[in-house]
Amino acid sequence: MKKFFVILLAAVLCLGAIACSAPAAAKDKIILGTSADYPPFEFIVLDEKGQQQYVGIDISLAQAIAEDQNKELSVMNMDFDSLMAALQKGDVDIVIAAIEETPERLEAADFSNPYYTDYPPMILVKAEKTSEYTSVESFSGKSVGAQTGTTKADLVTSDLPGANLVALTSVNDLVNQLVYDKVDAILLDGAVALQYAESNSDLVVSDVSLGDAYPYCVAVQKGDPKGLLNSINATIAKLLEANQIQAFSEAADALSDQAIE
Amino acid sequence: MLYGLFDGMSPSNFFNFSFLPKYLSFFVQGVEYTLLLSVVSVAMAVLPALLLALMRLSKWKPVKWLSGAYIAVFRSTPLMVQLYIIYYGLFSVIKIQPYTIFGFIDISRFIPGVVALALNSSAYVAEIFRAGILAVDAGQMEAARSLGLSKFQGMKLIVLPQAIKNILPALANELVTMVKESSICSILGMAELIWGAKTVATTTYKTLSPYVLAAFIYFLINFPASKGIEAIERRMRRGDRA
Repeated sequence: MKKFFVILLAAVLCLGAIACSAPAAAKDKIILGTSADYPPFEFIVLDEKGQQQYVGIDISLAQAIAEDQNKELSVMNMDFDSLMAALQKGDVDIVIAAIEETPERLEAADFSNPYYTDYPPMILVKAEKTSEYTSVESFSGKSVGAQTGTTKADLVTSDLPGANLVALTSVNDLVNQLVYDKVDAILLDGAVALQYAESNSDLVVSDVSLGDAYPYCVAVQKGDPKGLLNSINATIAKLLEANQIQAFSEAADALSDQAIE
Repeated sequence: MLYGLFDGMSPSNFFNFSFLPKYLSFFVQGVEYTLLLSVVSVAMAVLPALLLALMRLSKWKPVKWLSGAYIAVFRSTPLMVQLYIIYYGLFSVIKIQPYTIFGFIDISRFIPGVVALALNSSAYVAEIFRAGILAVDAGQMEAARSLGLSKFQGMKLIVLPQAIKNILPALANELVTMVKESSICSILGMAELIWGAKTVATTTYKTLSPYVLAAFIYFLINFPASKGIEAIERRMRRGDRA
């Protein structure tokens, strides 16, 4: 019994030692907070060696930002609705996750210049019911899903009169809700909606158009205490000038197609 | 009626495992992460749980009350909230640098996860210990005392060894429970089995079948484990009769 406790104690101490002895990185790190469940913006694929890899438009942008600051990129993956908390806490230096600048978010973080403008938000519905939805009014009394903590969730409340918002954390769950008729429609970012419509023949993008396309920005801690914003804006300007973001987008689409195969 | 139940539930969504073998590694690593998370958590819960149980059985009121309060709080609030409070609260004071062990376990997430699960589990294990200690006949302690052993010696040498034997199956059951409960850690990005399923689901647009596979793997772990525990229990009872 005594021996058991001694071993246990030793194990606990070892864990503590590992925690404290993390070696200092040779190169400065920039920590990216993202929610890698959102192809083509950020998602996880396997590389040729079978290693998990974060890829997507936002990840490519983060890599460019890190390179320009001569830092090493480290990715922290979490739920979308945890990102702002992690940024405020200082766990991550920047957040890039197909995120728009909104007045609410501006209270918690500062934003860079826009780097990408997505399609406008799109409403995904069942293919056989698409003819029922002809205007925003036709969603009255229907339940419409959107991702928790996103501008899309706000849009359902403000722009679809009479619709009941069903807010869930992951897009994946939203799609399941739609496929199994738990909700009547889901509101997603345009690019994401198109991907799901393409990979699932039951689902189509409704003709009802909704809202404008908001540009995505990079979020940093409020007041930018680490002084990252100028460099980030310079990187974005440079990439936009060289049409690089478009190239990131095409590369991400290609990777997403490969991942589905 | 029965047919209506399965309307629209095309089996292809539930049992389309075409993402294998390409994405098998997510599930293999997920199982390793899950097992490590639950085994380390339960192991780390044992000592605090024993302490809590002894405190709970103490005659000294404040100590008894303190342990009772701890157990009440951790057993009566959702593990998910405990995890949030410990990860965002406690571990924003204690900073752990991101550092990867075994190639896929980031300790800056793993350790908060283990601490949260261990704190939660210690409340449950404490109750297991308490029941185990109380189940040992009071005469055992009286006999120990009358032989001149101190209360501490009586507990350590006479009561606890008998109690531990009764406790082991319940402790193993706690581990089985923890294997499933630890799936909650996926919400904070700990790369355990459910997290792996979620990632495969989003990357491949197969929105259900990765979860079905994960459930199957949980079953493959927990069912034999439960059967093993039952066998050990039977074996122990045989010893009691002899």
